[in-house]
Amino acid sequence: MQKNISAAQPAQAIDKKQHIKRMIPKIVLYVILIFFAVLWLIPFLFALSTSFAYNNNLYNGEPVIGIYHKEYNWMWHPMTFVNYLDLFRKYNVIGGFVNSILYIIAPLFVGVFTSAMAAYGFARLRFPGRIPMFFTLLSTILLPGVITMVPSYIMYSVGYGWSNTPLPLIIPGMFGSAMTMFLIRQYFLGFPKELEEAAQLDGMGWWGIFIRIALPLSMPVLITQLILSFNGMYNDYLGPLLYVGTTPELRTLQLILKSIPTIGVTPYPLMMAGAIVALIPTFILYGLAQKFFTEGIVLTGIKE
Amino acid sequence: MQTTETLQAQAGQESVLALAPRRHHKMNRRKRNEYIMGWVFIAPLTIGFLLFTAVPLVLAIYYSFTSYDLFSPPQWIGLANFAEIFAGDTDWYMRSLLNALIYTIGVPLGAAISLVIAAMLCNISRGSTVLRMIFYIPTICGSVAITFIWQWMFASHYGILWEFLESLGFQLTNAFGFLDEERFMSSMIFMGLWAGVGGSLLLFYSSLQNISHDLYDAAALDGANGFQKFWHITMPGVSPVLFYVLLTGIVGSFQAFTQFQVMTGDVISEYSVMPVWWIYRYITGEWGYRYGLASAMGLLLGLILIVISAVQFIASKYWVKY
Repeated sequence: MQKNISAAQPAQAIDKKQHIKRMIPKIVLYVILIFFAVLWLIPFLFALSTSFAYNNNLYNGEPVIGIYHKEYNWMWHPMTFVNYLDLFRKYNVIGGFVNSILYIIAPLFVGVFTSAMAAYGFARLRFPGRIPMFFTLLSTILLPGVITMVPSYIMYSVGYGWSNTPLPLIIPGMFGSAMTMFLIRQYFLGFPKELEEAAQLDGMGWWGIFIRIALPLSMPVLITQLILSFNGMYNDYLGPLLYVGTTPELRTLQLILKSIPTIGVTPYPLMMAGAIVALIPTFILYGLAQKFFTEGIVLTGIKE
Repeated sequence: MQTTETLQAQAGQESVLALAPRRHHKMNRRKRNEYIMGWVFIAPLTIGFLLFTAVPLVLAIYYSFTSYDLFSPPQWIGLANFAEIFAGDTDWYMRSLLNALIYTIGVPLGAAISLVIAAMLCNISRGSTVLRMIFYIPTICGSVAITFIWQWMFASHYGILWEFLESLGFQLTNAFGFLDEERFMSSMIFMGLWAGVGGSLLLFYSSLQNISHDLYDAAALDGANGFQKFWHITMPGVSPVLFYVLLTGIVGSFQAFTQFQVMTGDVISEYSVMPVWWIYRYITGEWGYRYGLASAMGLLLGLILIVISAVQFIASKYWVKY
């Protein structure tokens, strides 16, 4: 049938055929991409579905071990809220969340501010020692954390006497981070020189320019850094494990989550409920600031 | 060092040119103010660096040559810690380095997958933002939650992967498990790919968007085929991102800890041990408070990573096109 298309046919039909021909690779592309996207989503859907499953419970007088029953499949099975109730009843999820937030607030806001200060100093001021200091700080980004892991622990617990307190999680972060400084600096470098010149003519000092002009102008990058820092600290596991892991009432949400016993008869539905609850703050944060973030990661990407 | 000097020289020249003879005194005062304020601005980060990075770094080197158990002062023992590590007396530390090396296979694999998906995303117009978001989601999620989810994905008999293999007609027995000795590392790499591809995908995507279409059109006129276009236009275009992804990925995967500790329920074994996990066991004192030895282990891994990074930086001069 296709071979019968001849030159005698109206031009429109040929166009249409070529159009379809051109569409085929596009469609194939979409099919592959959607297939991969579904693959990427399945673990989350599986976890969400399981978090509502019965865990070693009777259902309608029949033993239904969650979704293990052969009558049901991973998506369709009797649903219950009992795992979420158990999670909040047996594990100090709320206390853990409060601890996480308490440990994050100071290093988050103070840390991003001090990083921005250093970023401004390096980007806009000329002073002796600027360049060696900048490269020294920059090189700490590439310094593998494993080198300082043990001595830091000794220093905090023996040197500073901070054992079994959250201070090692809070205080160092308040001094800022070289990575955050570097990314904010990229943004400050883009400001025109006239910015400071005009402000200085008005009698404004460097500090005034930083607080009243530079910071308000760099809100997108600051918010991006706040989100990245928050999420990084919120998801941190090794730090809290080392410093507050042995004191139950000081544990962060990640440590509470990990305290769900996974040996023996594994309570998968309960674990999945825990995982979902722990992911909610991250999703809310990124959902709210999605626009800032997608702009920010392009702005502060490594392209520059 | 050379660049530092030239930059300083340039900065000096600029300020010399800016100095008008008459206003010498005033300019000096303004310049001194700039000097002081410069250091004020960088003071917190610099103090933080000295207290929380420089001091532990010096201590790391010192402790590595000592025997130290927290209760009595460190005793200088020279290279004995390193000798013990290389002699293999420290059980699985050397094995953990090998495991980390195996785990690193995921880094180039992940880079390839994210580059291919990013290239596909560049060729569609509608829905690319949503798809990028979907791939990105796992990278923002906490490792503990992700590992819980994958523990369940990998679960025997009831996990979704098990059911999937059974539905394909595989007869799986009790002897089979995704987290068994032979399959543990591949499963962890698999999970790592799912969790990590989204970040590098975003970077590849934006760098692919920056490659001019004219280059491809010109190449097409010259009769270049798909592979030639990829090798001569796409690869140089994305090479800075590829370099960054490989550099940070290798350093990161060598220091992976959370996934392994959570996945195994903190039960350490020869096929699952990772360096940071092994060192962590010394910190918690489960294997005696041998802080000198543990510092040496950390320093050794750190130096290995610094050498790997340095080699990558040197090699990048030949293949990365900025």
